[in-house]
Amino acid sequence: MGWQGKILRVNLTEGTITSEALNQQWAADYLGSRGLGTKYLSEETDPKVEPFSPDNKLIFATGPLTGTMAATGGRYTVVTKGPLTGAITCSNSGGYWGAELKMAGWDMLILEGKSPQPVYLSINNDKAELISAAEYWGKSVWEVEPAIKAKLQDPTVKVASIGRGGESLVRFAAIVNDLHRAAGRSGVGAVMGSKNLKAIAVKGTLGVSVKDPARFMAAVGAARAKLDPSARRDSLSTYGTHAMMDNTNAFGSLPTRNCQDVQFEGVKDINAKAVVTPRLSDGSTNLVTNKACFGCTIGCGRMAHMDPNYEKASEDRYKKISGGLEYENAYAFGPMCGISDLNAITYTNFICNEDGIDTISFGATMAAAMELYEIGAITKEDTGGVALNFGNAEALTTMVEQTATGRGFGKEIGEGAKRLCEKYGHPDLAMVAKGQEFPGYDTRAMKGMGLAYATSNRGACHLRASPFVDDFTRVTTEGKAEIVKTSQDKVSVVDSSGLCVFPAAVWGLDDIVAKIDAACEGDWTEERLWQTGERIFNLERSYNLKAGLTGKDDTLPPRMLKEAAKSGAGKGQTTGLEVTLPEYYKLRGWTEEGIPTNETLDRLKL
Amino acid sequence: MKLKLELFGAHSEKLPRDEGEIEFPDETVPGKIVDWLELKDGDQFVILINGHPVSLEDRYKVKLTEGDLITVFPPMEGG
Repeated sequence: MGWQGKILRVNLTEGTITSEALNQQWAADYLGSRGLGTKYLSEETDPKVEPFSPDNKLIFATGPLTGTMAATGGRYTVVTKGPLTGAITCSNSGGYWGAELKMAGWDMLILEGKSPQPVYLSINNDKAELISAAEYWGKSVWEVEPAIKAKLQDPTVKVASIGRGGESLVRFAAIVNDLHRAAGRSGVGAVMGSKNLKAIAVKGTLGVSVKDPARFMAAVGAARAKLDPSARRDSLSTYGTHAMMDNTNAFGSLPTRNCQDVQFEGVKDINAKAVVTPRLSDGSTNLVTNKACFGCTIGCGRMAHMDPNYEKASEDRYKKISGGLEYENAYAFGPMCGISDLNAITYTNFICNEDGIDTISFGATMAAAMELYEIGAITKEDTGGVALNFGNAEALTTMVEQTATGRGFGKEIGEGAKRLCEKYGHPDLAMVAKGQEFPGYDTRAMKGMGLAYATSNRGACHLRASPFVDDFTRVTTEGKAEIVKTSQDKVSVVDSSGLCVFPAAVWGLDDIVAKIDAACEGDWTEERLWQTGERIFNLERSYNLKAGLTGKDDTLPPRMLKEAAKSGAGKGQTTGLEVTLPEYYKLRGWTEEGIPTNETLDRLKL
Repeated sequence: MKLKLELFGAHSEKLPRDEGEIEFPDETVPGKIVDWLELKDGDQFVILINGHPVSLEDRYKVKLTEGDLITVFPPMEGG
């Protein structure tokens, strides 16, 4: 109950597909999705494995609440060793694909080896087969998803696929499902490309059972009664995450021009209000509507319509309504690159979706390239004649086309900011933690976020901890370690349950445990969930230590540690990681070198 | 006392359209402004005075000065 109790294992080298029972003890200890995927990866792979080797595994995992009637219960995760960071990664997506996999009867899908030829996997409840993808290789996500649906003669099939970004092994390539949602971060799409796996089509009609339906629905209703009328839901539904841009700009934590500045003068042209303001050309707005994932009562997703007069929108596929601007993509293409051209930013987002590359990493790597260009470390000879100055919207759109399809200087950008800046002699200019590019929060004013970036097991991430409200209220190092540690443990649970992390701002683990205990076997308590979250986070940490990472990787670029913010609430300040990190290690029960002590490992049964 | 007021997010339509300075009683504190706006979950909203945050404990204590910029935005997490 909750869990389906089955795993589908696909060996791409041999072309074999087998069904096996879910390890119930591991489910009891690691819950599902992120936690369970991490346990399987840890048990089945050498942490030192090369990410693009056939020996690396790619795990698609649902949680016990995925596919149930729990609000926002449509999430799945992709767990693998990441090619951007060399650390374990877990990339989370919504849409409808995850719930469909669960309703096909599978908790998890483990892909191993490497197919000798491009293939896609077709799952129809308990039947699965590998089918040649020769005709789809070299095609975009936007081409392959409708083509597979047409071939299978079923428009209700759900498809997760890679575009030319994943095929080209762009180190931050995404897996895109349902056309508009993505397991975007850390290069999970490149690992899929390395295995010659183009897509996974799923049809599931079996439903998901829960242990105690009446109690489960009562818990779902009680949680909705908290979420639905909340101001947080109002804001996400009306303006999406995009609303965050005004907040970070006012506060002085909006990364601008590769974090040289913390406030951007062009915000009003690209913020959440700009996309609902009728444009002069056709009287319509950039934002058309919002869109919800499976089981979601928020609907934060944005659907956009490009300005028809924008020259890049001349091709028909760009005239259609497609995934629109959210905070992270708008920050990364906009302020981070010094660009305030709404059409160029929207187009860049369309291209990232079309060929499956991570918007955050692309934008932040582009910003690093722009700074390298402005200091003369790279020239037009390197870029194929493109002037990569900050603010050059044409450079952004040209480079996204090249990066998403693995061409020209885009190949260099596709390596990510860390490798790009190392190659051109200025490693300090990469705004990364553990090799993954920064999301849209400057850490000098938001010191909790600085600690969260530094200690995230998948590299810089704004969704592995939740220090937002405290950071916006207190510019200090005091108390941040505890907030980050506690919220990391909570998010580990939420990610492993199959729920979205957004309502967790309103829900405590008491709200979540009520659903898990009603859905799943075993006696689940809030205390047990807290320990499960801590166990999952420490297992990821242990994997990374075995992979060769150390406490020295829990750091931030020198710009965050030594250069003071020029304006805003953090003016004159640096991140203060030297204060928060030792305190954090102590709270975690780790040594001064950042290694979990034996006592900690024993306490967590690791 | 005239104050400048910025309100971001789904409730921004509550502000007068001209976005100019607004007259408040001299003893006004930031918390009272949020109360006046009648925001849902207003006690959770972030308040900045001239770009600097006001803690939850201080929002009914901090004194304001003529011309201060008060920024109010809803609690948001993630992005």
